[in-house]
Parts: sequence; structure tokens; C-alpha cells
Amino acid sequence: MSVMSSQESILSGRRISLTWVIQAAAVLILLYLVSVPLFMNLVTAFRGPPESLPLDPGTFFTFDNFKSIYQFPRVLTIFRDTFAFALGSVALAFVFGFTLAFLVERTDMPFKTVVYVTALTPLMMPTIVVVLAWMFMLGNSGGLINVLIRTVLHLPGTGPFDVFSLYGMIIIQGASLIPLAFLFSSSALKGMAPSFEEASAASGAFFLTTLRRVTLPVLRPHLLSLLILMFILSIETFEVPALVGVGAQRQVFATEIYWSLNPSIGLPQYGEAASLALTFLAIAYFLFFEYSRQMRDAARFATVTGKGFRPRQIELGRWKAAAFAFVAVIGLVQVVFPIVVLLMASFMNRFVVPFLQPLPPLTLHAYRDVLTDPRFLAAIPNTIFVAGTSAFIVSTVSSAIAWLVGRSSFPGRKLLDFIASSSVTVPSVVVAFSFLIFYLSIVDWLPVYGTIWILVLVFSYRMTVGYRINLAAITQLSRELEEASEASGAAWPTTFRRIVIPLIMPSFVASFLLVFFLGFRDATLPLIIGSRDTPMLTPLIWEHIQVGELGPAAAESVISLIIMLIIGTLMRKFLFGYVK
Amino acid sequence: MLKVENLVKSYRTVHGTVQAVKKVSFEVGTGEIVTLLGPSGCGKTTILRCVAGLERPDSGTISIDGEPVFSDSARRYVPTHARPIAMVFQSYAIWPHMTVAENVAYPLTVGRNKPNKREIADRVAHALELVRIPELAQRSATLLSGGQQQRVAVARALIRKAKLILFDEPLSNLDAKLREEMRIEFKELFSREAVSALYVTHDLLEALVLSHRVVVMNSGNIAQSGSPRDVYSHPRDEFMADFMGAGNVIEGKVAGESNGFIQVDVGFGTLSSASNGQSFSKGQSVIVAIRPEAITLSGDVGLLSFPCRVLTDAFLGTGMEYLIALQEHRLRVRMPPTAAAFDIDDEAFINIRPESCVVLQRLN
Ligand SMILES: Nc1ncnc2c1ncn2[C@@H]1O[C@H](COP(=O)(O)OP(=O)(O)OP(=O)(O)O)[C@@H](O)[C@H]1O
Ligand SMILES: [Mg+2]
Repeated sequence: MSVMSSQESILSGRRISLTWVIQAAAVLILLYLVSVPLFMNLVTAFRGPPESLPLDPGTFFTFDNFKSIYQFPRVLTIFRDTFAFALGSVALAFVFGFTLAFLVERTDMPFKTVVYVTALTPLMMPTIVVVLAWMFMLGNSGGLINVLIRTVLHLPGTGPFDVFSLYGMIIIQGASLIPLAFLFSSSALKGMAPSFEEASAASGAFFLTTLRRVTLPVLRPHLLSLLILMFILSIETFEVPALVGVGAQRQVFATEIYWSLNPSIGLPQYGEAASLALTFLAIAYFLFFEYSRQMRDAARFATVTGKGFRPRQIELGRWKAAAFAFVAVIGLVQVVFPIVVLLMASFMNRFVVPFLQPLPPLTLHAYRDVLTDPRFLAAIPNTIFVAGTSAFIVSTVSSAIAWLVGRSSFPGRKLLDFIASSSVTVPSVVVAFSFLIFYLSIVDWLPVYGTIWILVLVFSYRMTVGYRINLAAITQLSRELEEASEASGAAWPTTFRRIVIPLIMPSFVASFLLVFFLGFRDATLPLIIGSRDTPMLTPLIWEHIQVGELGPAAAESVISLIIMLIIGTLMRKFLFGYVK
Repeated sequence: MLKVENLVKSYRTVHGTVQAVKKVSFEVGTGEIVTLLGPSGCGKTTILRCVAGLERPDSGTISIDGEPVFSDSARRYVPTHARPIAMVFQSYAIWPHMTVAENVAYPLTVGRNKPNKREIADRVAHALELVRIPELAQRSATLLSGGQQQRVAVARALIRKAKLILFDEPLSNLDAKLREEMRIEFKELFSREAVSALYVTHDLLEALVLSHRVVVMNSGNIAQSGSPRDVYSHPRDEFMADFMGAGNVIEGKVAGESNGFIQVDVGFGTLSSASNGQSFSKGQSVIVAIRPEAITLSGDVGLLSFPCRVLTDAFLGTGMEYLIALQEHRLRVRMPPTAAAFDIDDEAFINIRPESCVVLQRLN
């Protein structure tokens, strides 16, 4: 008896120490990656003079930074433009994304694969590439869509659309959010017990009545949280307002911060940028709290029941053609046109509408320029390295944190949960800026600024994506699966190796892939924090667009799309094969 | 009220086609409660969903109150919301974003001719009264126990005064005691409100208590239908006997017939059994079904008794159940609590009452 109990305590003692080390490390990394730079941002906002770093000698405490921001009408303009842009984009994305999801999940729409491809392909395109494609499609005089409309309606002159406008920004941002709206809506529709809608039909309600009075209200928390999330993403997006909004004279938070750091004349205004960032952060956090509240409601409305069969599908009948036309138009605009215009522009150095305008000769000029540019050749491995390393860090740390929050009785787990899940809230521009001032301030002690490592660090900031996926997986796993292993006589290390790791592997891989893709696409972070010695793909495209070299920009876009496709396919094959 | 003819429904899945319902016909008369009874996966829910219009059958016709709502030959398919039905779901499907009263009122507010507010309020109050939860009207639907949700679902089905009410295992999510109470309450409610209903269940007792007629299903076919008493005491074949809880089944050959009983040679002797009006030929292979309570166990040898050995005993509260060995057969015997007790490995004798044995066709 006494032998038994002493052995037991040895086992549980080792178990505690093993997990303790892993978890303590994860907590420290999380705090370092997420909290420290934000704290630096807070300090900077209240330090003067504005062009100094907060730890420089001669700086002092001040409210001046806020005073210079909160001047009328400047602050009003920023708020107005930011909100108009975000609200418009959210509305557009929701209407199209939800409709696509509804068609797939609830109707007998034919060719559902086409809908999936249409809805999800844009995920593979970096936002900056999307913006470039839209410039070719909505350009005032030569844009593909404008020329098509003018030809069909026999309109003279230019237009009717101009990409450099508020609605141009909204169309681009809204279109790039459609995949998210689609994914969220279709998983909400999938998760809803079919009997809610069937009970309404059996009460005599027509399907539109059911949609309005049962489906939408039951999913209200899910859909509201989707709307809020898209709003957060829209106010934080940088590429769209920076490339398109400038021409339209629109100022949003994200771009204002950037211009404070890169003024056309004078020194970077750190203090001003920090106080803008802080205001921006406050708005984002307010939205985030609202988002979390809706998610809790969604959980309370728990809609899922055990039956695994697909719900009944509405028969579209003669509406089938209309539904398919709807999908086809979205597919053209979201997938076909962008690829066509980018390919043409890359091979002709500019874009003309085929059949309607004489084609310039094909040339490989743009590709030759790009492929002989040493910065571009360095940018490819750099980008893959940064995206891959940071994805590994995020997946590892976030699965450990998820384990800690979902499984243990660790006293600080509420706070950990908050930190890990709120990193999505912090706008990219603010993240980049915080890292910039933090590592500039400590460059004497920790010289990572100007190296590739600062990019790895800043890319690892995005814990939330990995954390959400891993937490969902871990909380769904019944604790009894582990207990059953222990009850079968397996000690904790064996249980960890044979049961826990295989069980969380799929979510680990999923989070790795997602974070990798998000990193590869991102332009904001490398633009603000990168340096000439560490070229990355998206800032190069950005530079070319800025100086009007659209041919090389298109060639680089095409190449990065191909790389993304190859890596995506390879990783899926390799990693999913391994998981199975 | 409801007439289902030659209903066929199959599902295509990744693993091939599942024939869920194979040419089924039955009727539900006005004011009649008909239960669809059968083991899991036999197609009960599928039939119910076809009647509701939630599934489109492959072929057959369904008419409600004389109106065809589905017919493959006439290419007719009335969508669910236009059928004169109400339905109670297994999961209750109480909408979480409405109060109890709003849930119950819903069917009145979505149809063609909506009653005015006063009338809706009155009818909601009345319906909640019928299911005995008038005090819950303003409660949020997320704050209800399983039994309360069940009552709300029933009130929602009653309020529309639909021609036909469909129930899909409405009691299966409740605990045993509550299920027993609700059974009785349902029975009383149904007869008071004179509802016509098609009621799906896999619980034998529920079907026997509630229905005027029982339709027993077996893998997509109707195995037998009739009054509860009829199907219970006169199972037609081996499946039915087993499903009705006959307990003991012994194979044998028909040896002859005498004064209304069939004599069956079962190896250890000859059993006299009732024939349920079916005819058998001499030498035919048959099954004899014997309920456990039709066998008596005693320590003394009797006129028509067989020697056996007690294998296990179990105390059931209402009596004792023994498993005994009689040559290669294992039989369950149920004795009242007042009878003499036996121990494991006791040698004893059993006596089988002929009127409680039933001869059945063998299912190939
Ligand atoms: N949507 C579906 N897709 C594929 N197969 C289905 C579907 N619905 C039912 N089935 C299959 O059809 C058969 C009959 O199912 P049904 O739900 O009618 O059974 P049931 O008698 O109601 O069973 P239970 O008592 O378990 O509810 C089963 O084999 C089931 O697996
Ligand atoms: Mg069923």
C-alpha cells in the first residue's frame, strides 16, 4: 500500500514539473510578444517631445500628443472616414457572403464546388495583390469593368466607376471580406439544428418568413459577432486606404498613424502616432468586448444537436438560373477577372481590355526586371522564412496556452485567455508601430532592429488565430479520453505522447497553415517595420505601385500567387498526410 | 385523415443507397392515434418526415384529409408550410430567441389568415393551460427544463388546430418517471382534444398505452399492424414475437393438431401452442414463443413438466427471474414474489401453459 502511494506521488510530481516548465515558458513568451510592446505604446503616447523615443534623454510627461490629435476638424474627419469605410465594407461583405453560404447550406443549388471556389479563392490573394487587381478593373478610363459597362451601355468618356473613391475602397475591402463572411455564415448555418427551421415550416411558415423570424434571430449572436469582427478588420486594414484612399482624400486611423511615422516633411512624430494608436486601440477593444459578449450568447443559444444528417434543402426550381448567375458574377469579379488582369498586365506592362482595344505586344520585360532584381530574389526566402518561423512559434505557444486555459486550474487563466484572444483586436499598424518603438528604444541592449528577427517577432504577435483553433479543439476533446488512457495503465508522459499529441495534432497543423498564410499575405507589418536589408515580397509590390511601375508590380503579384498556390498544395498534401 | 400508399424513400449516401422505407401503406382515421413502432433505424422518422413534407419520397402517394399532398404519378408535392399539419420534434426545437408565449403563438402569426392580437393571446393562454404550464408564458425559452420544453412543443402543435399532428419520439429525451406521467397525460389530452395523430416511438409500452392502432415496422417494411391488444398477444412472426418481448423462442417441427392447439415437437418433448388463426402443415419448421411469466418453476415433478437446472437468479422487485437450462435450451422464467425461491444449481421442473405459447412462422 505504502509502495503504491509513494510511486503515485513520484508520477504526479513529475507530471507537474514537466507541464509546469512548458506552461511557464508559454506564458512568458506570450506576455513578451503581446503585452510588452503595447505597454511601450502607452508610455510613448504620454511622452514628449513628439519626435523623440520615450526612453531618450530629455523626454518628459505630457498631454500634448493628444492635444494635437484631438483638433477639429481633423479628428472628426478621421472618425467619419474610418467608420463610413468600415460600415460600407461590412455591409457589402455580409450580404454577399451570407447569401453564398445560404445557397450552399440550405438550397439545392447545383455546382456547389463552384460556389466554394468562388467564395474562398480570394483568401489565397494578398490584400495588396487584390488592390492592384481592382485598380486594373475599376480604373476610371481603362478599367476592365468600366470599359465593359461603357461598351454595353454605349456611354462616352470615362467612368462610370472610379477606384479612387470611398466606394472604391468599400468595394475592395468588402470583396476581400467575403470569404470570411462566407465561412462564418456557413459554419453558423451548419451548426444550427435543422429542426428549428423545420418546426417553423411545420407551423406553416414560408421559407422567407422562416429566414426572417427563425434562422436570422437564432443565429443573431453568431452573425453579430461576425459583423463586429469584420468591422474590426476593416478599420485596421492598411493596404486599401493607403493605396486607394489617398487618391480619394480619405483619412482613416491606420493611414494617419503611418503618415505620422513617415511624414512628407520632417521627422517621424512618434508621440502623435502613439496617441492615435491608443485611441484606435480603445475603439478596437470596445468592439472586441462586444464581440466576446456576442460569442458568449452564441454559446448559450447552443444550437447543435446530435443528428448528423444534412438539413432539408429548399428547392430553387426556376430560381436556379438566377442563383447561378449571382454566383457566376461574383466568381468573375473575385476570381477570373483579377487573374486575367494581373496576367495581362504582367505580360504587357500595362492593362488593356482584350477585343475592345488593340493589344500591345507581349513582352517578358517585367518578369526579367523582377527576376534579376536581387532584392526580389532575397524577398522570397525571407518571406517564407518569416511566415514559417512565426507560424511555428504561434502554433506552439498558442496550443500550450490553449491547453492551460482549457484544461488546467491555473489561477491566471482568465487573464491568459484575454491576452491570447485579444491580440486580434490590436490593429496591424498599431502592432507594427509598438514593436518599432520598443525595439528602437532597446536597440542598444537587444539589437534585433534591422534584422530579420524583428519580423519573426512581430509576425508572431498574432496569437489569436492559433489560440482560437487550438482552444476549440481542446475543449471539444473529452477529458475522459486522457483519463481512459491513465486508467489503462499509461503514465502521464505516455498519455501525452500517445493520446494528447495525436489528438491535438490536427488543430496544431491547421493553426500553423492559417498563420503561415496570413503572414505571407500581410503587407502592413513588413512595410512599417522592415528595412532595406531584409526585403519582403509585399513591400516590394507596394513600392512598385507607389511609383507607378504597374508591370513589375503585376509580375511580382503573379509570382507570389503561384508560390502561395504551390506552398498551399504541398503543405496540405504533406501535413494532412502526416496527420492521417 | 391521413392515407399513405406505397411509400418508398431511399437516401443516397457516400456508401451507397439506403432503402429507408420500402413500399409502405397505412391510414390514420379521424380522431385516431396511430403509432409507428419499431427498432432504431427501421424508417419511422423517415415516414413521418415524408408526411410532413420535410423529405420528398421516391414514389407513392400521401393525402391528408382527402387532399393529395404528395403523389409521384400526379407530380404533386405540397411544401411543408402549406400542409395542414403540426409537428412535435424529438429535440422539441423550441426557438431560443423567443419567450414561451411567442413560441406557442408562432404558428398563428405565419399563416394566411392571422387572427387578431386578442384572439392569439386567448388561444396561447388556452394552449398553455392544456399542457399545464400557464405560469411559464413569459419565460425565456432558454430557461426551461426538458419536460417543460416538451410541453411547450406540444402546446405549439395544438394551437393551430391542425388536421393531423405528427410526433417524433416526443418522450424519448425525458427520464423514465416523467415519461410515465406524460404518457398518461398525453392519452387524456389526445382524447379530450380529439386529435388525429401519427406518433413515432420505439418504446413498446408508450405505443400500447397511447394508440388506437399500432403499426410495427421492421427495416423499412410494416411487420404487423392492429390494435395494441392484438399485436401484443398475437405476434405474427419471429420478429414480432421478439419485439413484443416474448422472451423465450424455441425452434421445433409441427407434429399435429389437437383440440385447437398445435402440437410442436421441440426436442425435449412436445409443446401445445396456440396458432393465432394461422394454419400450419405437419412437419413444418416453426418457432414457439413462450413468455417468461407463462412458465412455472417447481421442485416437484408434475404431469407435463420437464426437468431443468437453475443457472442464475435475479430479484426484480415485482418477482424473481430465473435463467434455467433445459438440455441445450436456455429459458427465462418469471415467478411472483410469493412463490418458493430457488438457488443457483438447484434441480427443478418447469411447467409450460399451452395457452401462453404461440406458434410462429419462421422467417427464412
Ligand atoms: N438524411 C439521411 N441520409 C442518409 N440516410 C438516412 C437519412 N435519414 C435517415 N437515413 C437512414 O435511413 C434509415 C431509417 O432512418 P430513420 O431515421 O427513419 O429511422 P428511425 O426508425 O426513425 O430510427 P430511430 O428510432 O433511431 O430514430 C436509417 O438506416 C438511417 O441511417
Ligand atoms: Mg427516428
